[in-house]
Amino acid sequence: MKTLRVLLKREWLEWRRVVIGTILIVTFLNLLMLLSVSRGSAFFHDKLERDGHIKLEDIQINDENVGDVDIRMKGNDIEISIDGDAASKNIDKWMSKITVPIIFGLRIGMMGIFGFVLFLSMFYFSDAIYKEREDNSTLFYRSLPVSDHYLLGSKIAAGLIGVIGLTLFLSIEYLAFTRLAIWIMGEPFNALAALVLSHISYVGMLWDWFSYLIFAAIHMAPLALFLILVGSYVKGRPLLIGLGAPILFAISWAIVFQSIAFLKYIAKFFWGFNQVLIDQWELMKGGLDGEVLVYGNFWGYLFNLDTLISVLVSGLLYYGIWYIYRKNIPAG
Amino acid sequence: MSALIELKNISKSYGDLKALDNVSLEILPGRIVGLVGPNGAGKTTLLRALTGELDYTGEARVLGYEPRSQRAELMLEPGVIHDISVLPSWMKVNELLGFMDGIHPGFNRERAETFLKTTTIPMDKKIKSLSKGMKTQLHLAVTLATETKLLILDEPTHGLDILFRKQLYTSVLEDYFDEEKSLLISTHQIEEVEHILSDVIFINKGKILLYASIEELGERFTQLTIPADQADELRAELKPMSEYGILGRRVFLLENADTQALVKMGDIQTPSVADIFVALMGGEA
Repeated sequence: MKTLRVLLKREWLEWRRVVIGTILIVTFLNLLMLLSVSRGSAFFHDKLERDGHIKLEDIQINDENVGDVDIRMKGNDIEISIDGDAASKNIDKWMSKITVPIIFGLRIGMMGIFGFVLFLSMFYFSDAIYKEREDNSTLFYRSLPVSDHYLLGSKIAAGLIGVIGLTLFLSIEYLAFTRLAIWIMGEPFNALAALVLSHISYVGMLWDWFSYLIFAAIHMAPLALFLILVGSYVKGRPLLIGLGAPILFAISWAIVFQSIAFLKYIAKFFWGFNQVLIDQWELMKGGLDGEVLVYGNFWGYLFNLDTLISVLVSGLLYYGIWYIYRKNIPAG
Repeated sequence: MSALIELKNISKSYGDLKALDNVSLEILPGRIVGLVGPNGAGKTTLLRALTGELDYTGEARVLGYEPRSQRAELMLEPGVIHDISVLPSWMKVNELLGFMDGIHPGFNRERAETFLKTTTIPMDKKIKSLSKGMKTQLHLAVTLATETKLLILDEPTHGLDILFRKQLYTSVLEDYFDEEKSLLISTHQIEEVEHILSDVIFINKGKILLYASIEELGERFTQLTIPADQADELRAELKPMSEYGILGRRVFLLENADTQALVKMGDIQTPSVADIFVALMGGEA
């Protein structure tokens, strides 16, 4: 266990700049969001005081519908109409409408973070062994009393822990910034958003998000291991070859066999973890009734045939990585 | 006394090229063995086979372990310095010491730091920013600070200047070597190590041409210096392995010659390991 801890620390030391850089970039984007919210809030408050109401045209109400939102101050009371439907007359109906875009925003933000981390992880996985080969340090690591499985396992584990840990950390940061943004917006937005957000269990949401990340990690593991495999073999440009070769293969397959059935299956397989999310979102459109599930529970999705295939393919790819790693093919 | 290294019929091929061809040898504790051969002779291949880096055919036991299948267990015992810089370039010097401290139970961090204090290597710099000599010194510091029974040096002075070369071998002899340990040094520059060797292995084209102690070399090989006008007559009689001329005289290198008889013919000397190497390689070329 100590060996694994030391090897994981080695990965952290090597990649900490990327991790810290990612956090700084996302924090910067969050600060930009705060700034724009602050500016927008000042504008709307001025408009509200001057005109007595704010009309927001063509607002995305939910996934399919766009409508106009009119916010009117009557003394200390707020009246909000969506497409002419006065919310004050039917607060539940209005709430069900306003909930969707807010939760949609939370989902999109967190998915964006996950997508960004996933994109960066491609660089990590393709470079995991390639960089060792480039500076010949494979010879150094293999001159130590550490098995190849520890050396390789620590790299895979570091990648998975990195993707899940960094996504969770940035998601929490994003949620915190979202709350801060709502607070900065001031009344009436603050009170309105609070009405929606009070229905969200943040702990539950993060737990669901965590389960989703585990599910996504298992589905993405073959791709991650494939990139490591390519990085353990090619002379240069592991990411380009790792992503480009399958695309070329796919095009050649389609041309030679005049069929894209196989490619569709592969695409469906990798899209699977996304589809699960979309399926869950569909379930969430019902409106506000008690506690809102932002994502839904994903543990049930873990145990299926696709997961088994993922694990088996990952196992085969791992064997390939181990076999090639022992050969220590020089890079460059 | 059991051998630290035992090889029986080790072979390794790269396509049609035989990098190792039925290599068999034993190395006992307390020996300093020079593995000598020209570039491409199979030295690095042999050392990498010993450290479990390569697949091979034949039987190998290093410190009691089969190198390929028991590499991790084996690597508790030997220290290895390669002919190229292999330390992770992105690490800082102090991070490397911390890493070794955590990963190798035989590593003594204080010892490494003490050694590094005698050098100009900065602790907070990345390894990639160090000069080649500094990288070798750092690797040496890390290796010598690790408790090992066998030290394998593969062309350790490759690319280093004369000061670093001298310092490296001095450090190895003073800080590492004792009668319980063995040193296996691969080099194609025999002159710089022959004074410290107890044994020598000549290798060429993947084959062991000679494996003998320095004493045995002295008994087996003789250098005879004769007047040039007697060269033709004695050449036919003695059949020297090699010869060269110097200051109007001819120098013959002879194997298993009767030294009592040679004394009457001219001046006899023990040849240098380098001369024997050149003579043997000349026959191979």
